[in-house]
Amino acid sequence: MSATNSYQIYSVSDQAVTLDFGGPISIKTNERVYMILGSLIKNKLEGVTDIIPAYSSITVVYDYMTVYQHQLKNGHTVPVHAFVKKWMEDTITAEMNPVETIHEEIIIPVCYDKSVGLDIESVARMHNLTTQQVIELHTAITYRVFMNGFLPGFAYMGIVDPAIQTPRHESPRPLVHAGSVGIAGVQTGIYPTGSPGGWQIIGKTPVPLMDENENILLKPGSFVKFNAISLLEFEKLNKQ
Amino acid sequence: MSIQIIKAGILDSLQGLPKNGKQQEGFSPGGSMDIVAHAVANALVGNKRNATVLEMHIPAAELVFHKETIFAFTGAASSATLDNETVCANQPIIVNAGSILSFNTRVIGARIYLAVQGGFENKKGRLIKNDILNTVASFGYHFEGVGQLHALTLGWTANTKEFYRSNIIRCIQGPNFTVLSKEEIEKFQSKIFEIDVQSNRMGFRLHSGPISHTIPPDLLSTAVTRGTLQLTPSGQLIVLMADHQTTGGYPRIGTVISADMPSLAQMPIGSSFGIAWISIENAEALLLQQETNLQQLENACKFRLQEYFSEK
Repeated sequence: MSATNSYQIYSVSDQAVTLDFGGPISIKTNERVYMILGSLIKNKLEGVTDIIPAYSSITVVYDYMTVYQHQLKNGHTVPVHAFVKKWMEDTITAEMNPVETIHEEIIIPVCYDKSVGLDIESVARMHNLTTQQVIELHTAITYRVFMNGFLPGFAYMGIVDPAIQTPRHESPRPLVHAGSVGIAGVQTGIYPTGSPGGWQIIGKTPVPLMDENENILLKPGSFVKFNAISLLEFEKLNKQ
Repeated sequence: MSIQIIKAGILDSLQGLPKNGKQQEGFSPGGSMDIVAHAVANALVGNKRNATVLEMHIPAAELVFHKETIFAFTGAASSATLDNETVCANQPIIVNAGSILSFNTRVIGARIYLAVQGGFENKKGRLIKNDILNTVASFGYHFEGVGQLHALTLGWTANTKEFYRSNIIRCIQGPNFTVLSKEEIEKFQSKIFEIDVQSNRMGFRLHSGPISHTIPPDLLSTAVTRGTLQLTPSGQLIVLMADHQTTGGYPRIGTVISADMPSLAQMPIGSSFGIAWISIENAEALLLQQETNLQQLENACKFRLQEYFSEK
């Protein structure tokens, strides 16, 4: 399996390079992103500080001076950005085998009661469904974490069943509470902390998405399934 | 205990260098907005570059030293008042316990950086009145206060002028540069951008005439960096600063070069600048030059401190 077909590689700053396959959101492209992520981590380059996967792109952030010094030591003379781009392209052409990913599924309990799933009734109405049908459609799929971003620990997951895909609110709510489960287009996600937000809120989880040491639960590449719980169970778990 | 806040400033916080490594999980690197002023403040007191410093905006906090130390401040303030005496920026100052430091509002720039010997212990968030800032134990230079004096200014000054520029901020073009209309590209470099009041450590909103553009239909969120110039659907630019989100979905028309980020960080709300496009090769050369100058300055500071304390 080759990861080399049709991409763009460009500098997004003088200390970051992005390799971009372009849209639309697709599981296949995202799998390729994670394959490349694994290869880049394995074939590590001194001075690289972050490797950030996204839906259909991967960005390498580096410390210019560290890469520059490393290059000097090794007698390379090309500009640092060109050196990093070459390292990325060499890595993906050399690595033909998919990197093994752990397919561990994380089960997230979600209460879909309208008292915490503020938009579930309007989402159901919009699609001519009952709220029960919305819950069934949302819990039926094992979602993949395409990427993290927006807030620490926020995971962009998909792909949501077309029958309940709903656009964002036109103007965001000033505060969406931590634990709120939302949908937006093909995506679903959980707010790890309270924040302004425009997603359609259909439920809430009592499970914290980040511990006190800032370890996050839903990491890039994780697989997630939602499990519907009652308001009573939610309140019980919330107290723990 | 070392330093206490007597009167809080508008937005005082303790900052290190940007903390990379967890951006793939959505954690912003953060860190000091003006990395040069951060580095110089640390160099003046004999710290490593990554020591934690106090970042202050205008008006700045009023502070009391509970223990004698060496401190220095850099960035927006050229002078401050230590008890009733005037002390200057970019100089190491030995101070007695009990002294009170306050900053006046006559400043050039937006942010002040204060370093003490050893550096501060990390503490997150905005600092408030009565907060105590502990310092990391240091094996630095030993002295027993300065006797009857309130403070003793050591006799050298770091010249930081060469690190800053006003008027023109240099950028490299971004992957979505072509969303700008042809006419827009032609006149872009003669435009004036004003820093909007809704600007903070996450990003600066820039006022200019509306920028004509075409938004590509299927732009997916990708990683963004400190300095990324995002174009909003309404045709306004946002430049991402220290506490930026790790990913974004707006078109990225360019990125401020690393070497000019300290200059931009020192531009107060309401000030204006122009944008000049340069090549990435030039951006790299300017960053290398800046880093070389900064290392020279750090070495000179270290040498001066060693010399001063070995003569005592």
